[in-house]
Amino acid sequence: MNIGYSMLITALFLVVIGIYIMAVKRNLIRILIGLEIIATGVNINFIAMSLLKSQSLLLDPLPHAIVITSILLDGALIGVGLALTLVVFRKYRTLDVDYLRRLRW
Amino acid sequence: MLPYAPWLIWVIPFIFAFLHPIFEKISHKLRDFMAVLAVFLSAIFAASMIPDVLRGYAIINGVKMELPIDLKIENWIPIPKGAIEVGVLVDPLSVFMANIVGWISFLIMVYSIEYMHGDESITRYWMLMNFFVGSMQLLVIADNLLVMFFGWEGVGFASYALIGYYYKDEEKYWIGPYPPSHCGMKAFVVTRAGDIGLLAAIVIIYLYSGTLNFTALSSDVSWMASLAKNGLLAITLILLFLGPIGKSAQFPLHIWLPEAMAGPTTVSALIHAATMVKAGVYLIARIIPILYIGYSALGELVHHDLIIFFLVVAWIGGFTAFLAASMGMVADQIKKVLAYSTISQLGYMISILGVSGLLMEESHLFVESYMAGILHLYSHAFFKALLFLSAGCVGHAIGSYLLKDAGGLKKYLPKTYFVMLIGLLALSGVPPFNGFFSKDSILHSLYVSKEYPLMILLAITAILTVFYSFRLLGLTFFGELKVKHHSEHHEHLHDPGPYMMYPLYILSIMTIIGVVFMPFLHELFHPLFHGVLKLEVESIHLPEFIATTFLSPLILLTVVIIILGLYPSYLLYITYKIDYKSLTERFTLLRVLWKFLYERWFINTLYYKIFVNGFLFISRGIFKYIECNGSGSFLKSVYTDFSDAVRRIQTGYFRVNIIYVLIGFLILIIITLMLGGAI
Repeated sequence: MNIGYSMLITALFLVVIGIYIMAVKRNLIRILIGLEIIATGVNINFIAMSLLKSQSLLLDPLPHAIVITSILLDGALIGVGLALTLVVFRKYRTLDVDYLRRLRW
Repeated sequence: MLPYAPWLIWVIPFIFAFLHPIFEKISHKLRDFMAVLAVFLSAIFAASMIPDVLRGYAIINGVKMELPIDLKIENWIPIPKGAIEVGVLVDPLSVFMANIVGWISFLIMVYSIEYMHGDESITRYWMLMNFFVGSMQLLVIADNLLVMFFGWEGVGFASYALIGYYYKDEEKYWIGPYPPSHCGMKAFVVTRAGDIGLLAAIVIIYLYSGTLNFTALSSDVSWMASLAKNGLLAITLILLFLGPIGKSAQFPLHIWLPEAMAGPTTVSALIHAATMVKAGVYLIARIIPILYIGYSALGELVHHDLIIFFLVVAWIGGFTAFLAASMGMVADQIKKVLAYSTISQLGYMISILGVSGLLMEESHLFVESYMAGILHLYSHAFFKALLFLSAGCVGHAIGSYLLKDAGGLKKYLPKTYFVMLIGLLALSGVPPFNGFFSKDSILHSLYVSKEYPLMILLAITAILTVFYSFRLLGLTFFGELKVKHHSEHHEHLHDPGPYMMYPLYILSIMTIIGVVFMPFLHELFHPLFHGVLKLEVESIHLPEFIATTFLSPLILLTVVIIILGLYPSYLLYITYKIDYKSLTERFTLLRVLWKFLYERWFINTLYYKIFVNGFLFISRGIFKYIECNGSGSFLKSVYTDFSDAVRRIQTGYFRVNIIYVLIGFLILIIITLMLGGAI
């Protein structure tokens, strides 16, 4: 039980750190790293919940399946994100997101 | 039957169609080869079903099954009161059609290897051609109306995309005033008008019968009784017939087929000889046995409605045959002449199938006229493919399909001349080519069934057919060479290579000896007549078949038809004894008639005036008075004001957006807590 709670707290920290990075940093790659940290936190959260919910030693396989799927999708997501970053860098010669403001409206 | 043959004949072309982009990356040769291979495999699988049909049973997974064999996925998608099922039906008609489609398409595909060589977007061409063949095979092998409708629409889509194949609309591909993309759209929209009727009929039949399966529809005909009691049977069947009217280009909706010439010639050949337009004839041939069973079970109850339906079918077919033949006499393009002749020949088939329905009381006449339609479909498939492909050779050589650019090519294209002559002789019904026997059996069954008005109409049409066939031949191959001053084309002025010529040779052999297979086709359809319809049918042998054709008094009619059609055509266009241009200048009546026919009886113009211009008029009115001045301007100001207000919150700074995300999370958490009762 205790390990479940400590995992929950870790997950919370990871999410908060990720959001902090995304809110503060201006470099696109750092923002992507922040996104990945959030994703990791959410995955740990899932596992922690499955630990807390399970009554016996037998674990519910569904959260694990979901987490594995989520990790896979993360890989795809980061691939697309890095590709976009590459395109942005080629176009603007910078990774500063504030320069991308001209894309609004 | 090869294993899974009825499924694979349509699955293989579909799969290959979507693999061509991959094959293209490997090698262009491989892609061309695969495209042809797909259709060849489809044809092989189709041919493997013939022995089963001849035997009357097939052994599938060690189980002996009697014809018709209905293989299906039961309860594929359950819906209220039944299920959507996908299945295939192996019976004489579907196997016959699958073979025609498969083999003719295969020859056309071989021909296109050379014909389309060097085209920049040929991958798209192969994809669509395979998709086309796959859809058509699905259409003919499907065991219920809904799956057939999928194939029907697939054929419609593929024909749209292939007619508009030259979508960049270069001037040389225009048909009269219409660019190719316009022609494709016209074909799609016009056939869609017919498909609405077909879909409506399918829904009505489903509501009354609870099934769409062909075998189920024919084994339990109570749906016909309840439709007839509500007075809906004739209307439903005529709605169903609207589909064939659109697809097979019959009278009110025939206007799309002449414009369907805008695509590559191979596409025209495929549309006219094997796929697309034959779908309508197939559907009619498919429902006639069902209606026959309904008639023999219910008798007087449905008799009246069926007679109305079959009269409509027979007369629309007959009238279309005449209409298109008259237009074909003045067409100004090689392919257009052939297009009109297709409409005309389809009119023959549909007309005779309609007549067969009128003769349900006398079973041997019913069988004879039904088989006459089937035989004409069979022989038309071969000679029309031959004609279109040889027209493709002419176009390949002189770079134009206009009759005014052709002329005097006999010396330069001797092989093309020879095969085209065979095709045109078959088209005009000259013995001993296959067109003669099938056309003669149509006229013969009209004669013995005493449908004299229709017979006279079709005989006149046959005269016109002979006339325009030889006009086409004369204007293309006789007279002076007009292409001389196009010096860049002159070096191309020779017969094409082997990939184009060998399919033509095979088709011309089939056209010459086509009669040999006609008794065999009678044999092939025995399971339908004998097994399903419980009719006594006698086998016909070849010598007997030929003897009855030549010894009947109708041979005189054929001779008269050929002489009446050939003689003026010979004088005008082959020997050029009479100058046809001065003829129209001298006689006002001829000039008016020429104008009338050249403008296609003004039907096309009328449709454009009503539907195209009418639609544009209405939509322009809506744009002008409602969108610009009326409620439209009010809506516009509402939207712009609102979006002006909203876009202020979008700063473009990423960290601000993150704050919005956090606010969103917060609201979500609060809602969750409130719903859980924590707050």
